[in-house]
Order: sequence, then C-alpha cells, then structure tokens
Amino acid sequence: MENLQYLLITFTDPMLLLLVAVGCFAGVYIGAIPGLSAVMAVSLLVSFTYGWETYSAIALMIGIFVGTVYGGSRSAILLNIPGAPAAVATSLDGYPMALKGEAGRAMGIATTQSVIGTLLGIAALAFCAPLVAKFAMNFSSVDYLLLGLMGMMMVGSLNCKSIFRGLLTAALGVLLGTVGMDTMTAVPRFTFGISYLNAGVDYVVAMIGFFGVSEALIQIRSKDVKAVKQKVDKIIPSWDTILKYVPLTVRSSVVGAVVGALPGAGGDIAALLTYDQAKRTVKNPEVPFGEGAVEGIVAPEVANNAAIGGAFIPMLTLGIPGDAVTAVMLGALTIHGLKPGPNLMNTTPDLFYLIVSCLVVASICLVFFGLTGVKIFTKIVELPKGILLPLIIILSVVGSYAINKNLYDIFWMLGFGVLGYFMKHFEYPVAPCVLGIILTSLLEENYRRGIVLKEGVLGLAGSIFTSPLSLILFLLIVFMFATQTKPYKRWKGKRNEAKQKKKAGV
Amino acid sequence: MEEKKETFKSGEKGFAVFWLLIGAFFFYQSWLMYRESPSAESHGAVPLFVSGLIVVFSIIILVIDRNKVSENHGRSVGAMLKDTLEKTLPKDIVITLLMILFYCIGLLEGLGFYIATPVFLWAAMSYLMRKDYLKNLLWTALCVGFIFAVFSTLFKVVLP
Repeated sequence: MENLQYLLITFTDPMLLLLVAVGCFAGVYIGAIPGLSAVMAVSLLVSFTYGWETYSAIALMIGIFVGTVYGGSRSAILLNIPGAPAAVATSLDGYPMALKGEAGRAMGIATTQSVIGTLLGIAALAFCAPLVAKFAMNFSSVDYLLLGLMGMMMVGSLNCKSIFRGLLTAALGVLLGTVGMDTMTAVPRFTFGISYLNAGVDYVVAMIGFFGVSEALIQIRSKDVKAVKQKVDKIIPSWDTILKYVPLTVRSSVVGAVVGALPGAGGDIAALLTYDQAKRTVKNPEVPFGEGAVEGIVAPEVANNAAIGGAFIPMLTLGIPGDAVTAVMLGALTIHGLKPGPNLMNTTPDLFYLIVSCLVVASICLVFFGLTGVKIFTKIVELPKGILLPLIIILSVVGSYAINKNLYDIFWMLGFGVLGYFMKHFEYPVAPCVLGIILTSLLEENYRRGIVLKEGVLGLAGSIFTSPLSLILFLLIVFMFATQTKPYKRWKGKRNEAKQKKKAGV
Repeated sequence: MEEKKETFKSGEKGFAVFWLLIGAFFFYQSWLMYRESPSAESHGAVPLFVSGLIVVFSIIILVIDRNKVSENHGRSVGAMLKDTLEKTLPKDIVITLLMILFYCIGLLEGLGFYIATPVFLWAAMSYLMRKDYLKNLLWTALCVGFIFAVFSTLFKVVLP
C-alpha cells in the first residue's frame, strides 16, 4: 500500500508531470539531431538541475532519457544517421523503408514499439529488479569479456560484404579505444607525444564523425537525386500490425531488459542483439532484412527502450550503472545526497517508485509526442540535399565541440568523417568500429582482471569451460561466427534450394 | 546454382592494403610497448592482439578478394590510379571537404562561430545547389537562427 502511494507521487503532482512531459518532448528532438545524445543531454541537465529539488531533477532527466532513446530512431529512419548508438540497428531497415517512401509507417511502428518496449522494461524494473540484479552479480570478468566479444561479433556480421570486413573494423575500434593513458598503469599508449591524445579517443566524437560527416559526404555523391516523397498519411499502425509482431516484441523486450541490466551493456547492444536474433528467427519477413523489413524496426526499437528500465536495475540496487546515461544519473543522485546501492530501496523506497512512475509517464508522453511531430519532421528529408548536408556538417561540428569544449575535437571528428567516408564507399561497416571504441574499456578491464584472477591466458581460456554461463556465451560466439562464413551460407543456400525443389516435385 | 559475380569498385582491393599497412604500423608500435612489460596483463597486450587481428583480417580479405574483378580491370597502373582517384574523390567531395577544412581552421583561428558558420553555410549551399543564391541566404539565416535558438539559448551549449 505504501509502495502504491509512492507510485502515485508523479501522477498527483502537476509540476512533476509537466517536467517529465517537457523532458520527453525535448528528448525526442534532441535524440533526433545527429550528434546530440542522451548522455550529453542528461550531463548538461545535471549542471542545470544541481540546485533543484531531487524529485524535479529526476523527473526532467528521465523524460529526456526516454525521449532521446526514441528520438534517435527518427534520424536513423529519415537520414540513415542514427541519432544515438542505440538506433544503429533501426537504420538498417528504417532507412530502406524511408527510401521507399514509407517513413511515416516506419516511424509509427518505431513509436508504438518503443512505448511497448519502455513499458515492458519498466515492468522488469519494478518486478524483477532483485532477481536480475542477483543474476548480473554472478557474471565473472570472463563472462563480461565474452559478452563484449559477442556484441562485436554481432555488429561485425551485420550487413557487410564479408564478416572479416566487419571484424577488421571492430578490431580497429578497439585499437582506437586503447589510445590514451592506460587506466590501470597510467602509461600513455599511441599518444606519440601529443598531450591531447592522453585523454583518449572520445567515442561521441568518433560517432559523430563516422555517422554524421561521413554520411553527409557520401550523400553528396547523390545530391542531385530527387528526395522520395514520404507517405505520412497513416502513421499510427493498426492493431493487427501490433498484434502480428507480439511474439517478437515480447522476445526483444526480455532481451532488452536483461542486456540493459548488465553493467556496460546498454540499449545499443540490446538493439543489435535483438536485430540479429530477429534476422535469424523470423522465417518469412515481408521483405528481406536490410531492405526495409518491419521486423528489423520492431526488434531494436523494443529492445533499446526496454533496456532503459533494465539499465536502472543495477544502478538502483547495486550502485553500478547499466549504461552511460545511468552512470551520469548515478552522479546526479549522489549530488542530491542519495546513495544508490542495496540499501536504497530500504532507506528511500519513494525514490525507486518515483523513477518507476516517471518512466510510465514518459512512455505515455512518448505516444503523444512520437506520433504527432512526424509530419513536420518528415519534411526534412524532402529538403534539397544541398541545404540539408551543410546543416548536418554544422550540427556535427557543434556536437563534437560541445562534449569537451575543445576545438581539436572538431578536427578529430572530421578525420573520422573522412575515414568513415572511405569505409562506406568501399563497403566496410563503420558501426563495429564505433562499438569497438565504446566497448574497449569493458573488454580490456575484464580481460586483464581475468588474467590476474585466473593466473594467465591458459587459466582464463580454461575457465570458459568450467562455468556453464561462460560456456554458453562462448558457444554462442562460435555459432555466430560459423553462421556468417561463406561455406555455411553456401551450404544453407544449397539446402534451401534442395527443399524448394523437393516441394516443387511434390 | 551459379553464384552472382561481384564487381569491385576502383580502389576497393587497394583499401585492404591500406588496412594491412595501418595494422602493421600499429603492430610494430604495440610490440615496442609490449617489450617494456612483456606479460599477458601488460598495457601493450591488448593493442598487440588487436593490431595483429587487423593484419590477419586484412590478409584474409586480400586473399578472398584476389580473384574478384574490379571496375578498372585490365587498365594500366596509371590509368587505374587516375580512375580510382576520380571515382573515390569526385570534385564535389574534394571542394566540400576543403570548405569544411577552411571553416574549421577559421574557428581555430578565432574567426568566431557566428561569422564562420553563415559564410560556410551559404558557400556550401550555393556550391551544392548551384542556383538560388539569394534563397540560400534565407536558408542560411534560418539555420543560424535555429542553432542560436536551440543550442545557445535553450540548451546553453557553448559554441566553438
């Protein structure tokens, strides 16, 4: 009964309702602007809301968080530039749909699935928090290492000419991630005496370059192609459409919430994981994956939003952030005198339920803001590329500067943009590279911790076969690699051909 | 079933050589680091491993792609290079890149965001559109106004 009272705090306080709504509205547009991420928006808010009352600060931050995660899908669908890492997978099928003039349908599906995902993630947060947090606590450093490698393997095998191209760019990402001062020994790596490099490569700068500037440069090649008129007359998907994808929605939300609960693995990994899962499990999509399959939007959008609720689980119950945004929120809560951890639910249960209720309000707001602004936003793609591309470049410049307020970041962003242009032109995927930079610390720290704990490489490798969880993760990696190789694809092709012949014969 | 013949872009095979050189350079640099503290948990171990992977993967790509036909197949080396350069870096890309570079240098040299940005926007729009020079002034004003309203005023983002 007491918990219900705490849950109603947000619903009975108009100011809190307004703050969540304003945050959500702003978040949708911030997330849609390439280069402006949830981390950046929430980080900025921490400094603005320093002197605010705790409830109000949390309400605004949660609104922004939910809005930005969803907003990233808009630019991913309309411009093929994911507004946030969590929207990388959405662009794989969302953009092809926009190219066919179905941006409205794609965004309608993205909105409804994001809302469903958020609500299911909240359910996971409210009911499964202690269980999932307990499960995540059992993960050893080897498991985290394998999880990171699995993420790279998945993104490396998505939509590219050969798996080796994806793996090469993933390895490049990890290499870039090692640039700077080593966090364990404070030894500079690949800095070549340049003090700027001591801080390492900022993944947001790399992301803006690889996804923003490189995309603008690639699009210059086709600047004279007339923009496809987008069909936005029927944005709200029918019940039949929603019901059709219920099994995939439920599957993806479970994966999203669980992955979100794992420290270091947020909406980006959840989205890619479920996209890959959908690609493997959906037998007969209306159109193939990568060419505008609805399932390719449903799975990542449900998962990245379900990961929001999941990400709060370890942050609130263990004091370990589930992703970069909850890491910033952890800092914000500490500023307000709170101590997230096992005792938080005992000492300040109101805070836990306030977060849950703010997330519910934010998802309700998402329905409204997500489905109403689509027509105006869609007009952006109908703008001539000669107008749009210079603006994307300026937004990329502003975004890359805003993170550290360092002019040299702009040049690095530009460098990544040019490299990304060549990579895209020669069909090398850029997403694994960005993911590699993001995951480097997770991979390296757990690898080195594992080496120390297991007393060497052999001990580390051997421990995989002594833990059922590690073994399952390892076998999944082997399976993923094997199913992306040419011999397997050739064998599968022959098997399908034989099946079809058999059917035709019958 | 006959496999569909893949045609490679001019320079695509050469790009794998670029990766090989990058991988080899960083492998050497990592080796120097690793030598300072030669153990599996040292600061040089992961860079050595991943740069080694880049070398291995680029060699695999080179081997897999060796028999694939390029767009510029059968031409002389000079003609191949010219074709690769023209197709990879067309004039529009080079000029836009130069404009971005001058814009960034302008910012670095203290020209000021609200001076450099409208100049870049108008120049880039006019070059890419090759028409509507006056209309582009309006677009430029709209874009700068949007940046001012959203970034400077609403989010208080410090502009370069």
